[in-house]
Amino acid sequence: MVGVAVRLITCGHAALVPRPGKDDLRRLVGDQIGDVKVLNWAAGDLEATNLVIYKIEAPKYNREQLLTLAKNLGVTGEPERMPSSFSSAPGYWIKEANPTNRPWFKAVSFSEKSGSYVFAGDEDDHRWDLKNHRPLVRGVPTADEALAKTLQLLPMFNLTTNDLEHTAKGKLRWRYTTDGTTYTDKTDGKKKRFIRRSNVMLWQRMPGGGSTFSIGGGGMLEASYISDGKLAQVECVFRKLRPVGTAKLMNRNQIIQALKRGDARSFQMPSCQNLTITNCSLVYPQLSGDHKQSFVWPFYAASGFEIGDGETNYVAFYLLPPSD
Amino acid sequence: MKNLDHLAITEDLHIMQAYASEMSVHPDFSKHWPTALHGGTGVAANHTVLGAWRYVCDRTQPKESGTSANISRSVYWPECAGDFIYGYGPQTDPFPDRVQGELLEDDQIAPPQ
Repeated sequence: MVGVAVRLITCGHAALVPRPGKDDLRRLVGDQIGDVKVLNWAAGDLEATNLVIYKIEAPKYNREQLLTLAKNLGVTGEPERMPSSFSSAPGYWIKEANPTNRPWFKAVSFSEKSGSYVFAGDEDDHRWDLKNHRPLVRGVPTADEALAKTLQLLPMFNLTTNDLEHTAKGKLRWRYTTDGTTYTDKTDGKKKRFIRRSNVMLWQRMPGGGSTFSIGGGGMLEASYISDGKLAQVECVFRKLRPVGTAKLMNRNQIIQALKRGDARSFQMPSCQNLTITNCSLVYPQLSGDHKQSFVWPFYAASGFEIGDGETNYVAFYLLPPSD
Repeated sequence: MKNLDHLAITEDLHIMQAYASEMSVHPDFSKHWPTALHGGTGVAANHTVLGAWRYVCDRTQPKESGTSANISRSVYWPECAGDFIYGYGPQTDPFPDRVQGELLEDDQIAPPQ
């Protein structure tokens, strides 16, 4: 009798966890690929991790929290409804009054659609000496400086390093990138690149294992710094997750068969003639802060290279495991 | 063409934008670009012509291996870096007598996953 009762509960529970729809899949992992003709598997063993499906809890606006964030980031003003035309609306924002006609402003915002927080500075990162044709940017933070500054921001978003994804070896998963502008130096005629902005990215830890796969900043905290080390922008899209179900584990052979059948999806348009898979892992895609996402589903991410038309291209595919 | 100073950009054209690599056509590409150009992100840096092009790349291109990341590019006269589209902010006409060697080139690389 106990077994029957558990089965019924399981069935009822599973019925509440929908599979991603066609539009969800296109946004999260791209379009379906064709049948793969030749597939070589050179990836290691798959990690034995549960495939958890998470429901995203509805974000709740907290006026005091937005005011505190604004104060800490030097934005003055009162919260008000953000314009409905904003991509992250509905939500609230504090926009600092700008007495000039210049269309730049400081602001912090909270999206009720995704729970994302955004800070925007009011300075352009493009510092250029028009007369002497040379950059005026100075003191954009290095990787270590930018990381240290970004970790100091965590408490403002009610986060600690425990909320951040770490690698299998226990190291913080983070990336540093730079945005630059290329110019021809008049003094020596050489092409040079000056760094306008440096960025640090941190990812949301998935409670049941696996890795966050970010589409446009989803499941990510990104902070950007410009000249003189000033904070230019922060976007934090950490969704609140609650486990509500599981999906079925797939073994290597099942993944290979699914890829050959053309069940996988990709943002690229591979020819699918001759693929070699060098890595396969579990990822959880999250959309950007201007999307309302209801669930976070697990996907197998297989990447490698394809050979076709005399070229070798990097490719990545995503495969939705069957429901449990 | 840019490297050979044969890019079809004169002083009548402020900014030219394209991809310097392959690009992925995400279903939200056509939504994000006008949203940014029309001032609909709440972040002024995304609303300039250059900023909107960077923003769309950041929002829609898959964050994959750094060696094959997609790159959106703007080529522009220096004084036009802060241009907005008409009706949403100021524009600056390119200075006359510019030579192509004075063009700047701005790349947005899809951040790595």
